[in-house]
Amino acid sequence: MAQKEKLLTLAIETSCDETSAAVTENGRDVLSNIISSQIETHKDYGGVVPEIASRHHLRDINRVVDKALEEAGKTMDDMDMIGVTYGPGLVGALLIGLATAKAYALAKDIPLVGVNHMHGHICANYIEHRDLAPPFTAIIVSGGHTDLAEVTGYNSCRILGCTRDDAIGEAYDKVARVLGLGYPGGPAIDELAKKADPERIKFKRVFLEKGSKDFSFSGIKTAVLNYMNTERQVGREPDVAHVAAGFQEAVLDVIVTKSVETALERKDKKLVMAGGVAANSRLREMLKKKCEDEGIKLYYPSPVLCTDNGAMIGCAAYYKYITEGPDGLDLDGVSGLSL
Amino acid sequence: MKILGIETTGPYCSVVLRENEDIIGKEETDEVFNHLRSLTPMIKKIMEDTGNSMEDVDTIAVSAGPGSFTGIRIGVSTARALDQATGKGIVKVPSLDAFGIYGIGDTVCTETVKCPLINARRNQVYGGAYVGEEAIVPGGPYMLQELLDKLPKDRDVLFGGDGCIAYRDQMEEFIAGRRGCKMAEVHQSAEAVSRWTYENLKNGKTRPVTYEELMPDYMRMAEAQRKLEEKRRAQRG
Ligand SMILES: [Zn+2]
Repeated sequence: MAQKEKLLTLAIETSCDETSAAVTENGRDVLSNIISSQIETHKDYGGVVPEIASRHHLRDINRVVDKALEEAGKTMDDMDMIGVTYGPGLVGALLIGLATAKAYALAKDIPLVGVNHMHGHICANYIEHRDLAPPFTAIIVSGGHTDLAEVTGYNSCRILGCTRDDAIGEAYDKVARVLGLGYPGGPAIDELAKKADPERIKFKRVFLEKGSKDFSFSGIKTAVLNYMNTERQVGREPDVAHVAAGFQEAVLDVIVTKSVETALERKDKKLVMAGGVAANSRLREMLKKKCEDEGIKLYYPSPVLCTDNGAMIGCAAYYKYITEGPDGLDLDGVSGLSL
Repeated sequence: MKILGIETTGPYCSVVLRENEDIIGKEETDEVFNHLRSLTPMIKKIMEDTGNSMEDVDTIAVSAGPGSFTGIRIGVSTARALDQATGKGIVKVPSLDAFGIYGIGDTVCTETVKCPLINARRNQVYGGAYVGEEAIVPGGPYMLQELLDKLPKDRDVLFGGDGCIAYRDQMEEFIAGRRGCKMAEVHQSAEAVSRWTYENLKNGKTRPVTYEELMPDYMRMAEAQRKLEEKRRAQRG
């Protein structure tokens, strides 16, 4: 399939509130990676508004692609294929990337490759860690997902456990709202917690049934809310920083414990972390410590590759293309696509 | 002159390749709101069937709204990306004008008023009224009753679009009370879009723009934005 020595991919990502395009060479070389974030817009609404996200993607995508090509020093004619996220994500957001990608593939008569966004997050690690190769255990943590997976090949992985209710990022957003920290919650809580004692206020760790690899984060918002109310009823103003730190410790403890246990169980000496929440400093610290103790090598990407970005989609598109070949132009968006 | 016409603002997605007066290739879905899946393969099929490629196209014409927000975005995104990849230029077509003038009934008939009714929910429509190539009620968002009240009482009226289906009871009542009014079972089509483009390019009333200039005509703010602005106005007031 890959006749040329170097395959150049124009990759597009529009699954949520980041409009991104990248030019990648084969799997792991990133020539450019342009990310236009809508976060300032959605802050006004306390979360991502799908209709507004779609409108912004449409407005921005072509400019972002131009910039990606320019920064890579390439033109559309140099591209060998188009990679694009087709799910999971907001359906109205996905379709902007898909319609755009399909039109390029049609106009230039080059292959179209649909990428699973979650697979993209895992692949972000291949870009930064040249030595990383499957198999390994992966934990994907983001605003929409909390998945434990086994990665058996460059284009094959299987979910071992996932959240039964809220994703970890969602829990952060909800608790941040309770604490009056605004949207998005992740960075705000992470920052505030640095100045506080995570042991001062304890929240329950939800491990579910013994041996379960699933997660549940929907209860913690209520627990935090109850704590705040109880304190106020007895006339104490709760220390928001300590609450934030206590909450964070409780949810991250579960993630760290389950991830490392799974890697040990599977006798994987490698644990890979991915997704937007993988940029959380406390999570990195805790996981690093635990992995060191257990003799597991931990991988995670730098923050720019943790957020949604085109480069990770380009990497995943390459591996999918060389194993499975291209998709048809009738590729549809799949909002609830699983790994 | 070869025009690639794209219409995705209504329930059915359609594409044509027009050469001046003639339609030389035509594709239409019979599935409702399946635009994302269908559109690009339809363009490809037309090119293959007619022995053309994007290189042979002189301009892309796209229906830019109003209509289904999702539909608009699929057509406009596709047109923008096609232009970005080929530099062919895009003619931005006002969906209601194309449909009202060239999609409903007979264009040359200057007797009948043609009235597109596109369902905009909650008793609202995107609509207008046209006689020949003239808009007597400009295309825009209206309450259904408001638009019906604007129609001349002494003329025959032909209605088209999915608003006829969504507001069937109200429309049937209106038609029963007026002589010479009818509903036609027609929807927005790429044929009308390309015709509007051909006529208006010929008369110099429009010109192709680049992808950067082509933005959709939603004619409505996002619901969340409208509410936020209302709230802010209330706080200020
Ligand atoms: Zn993501």
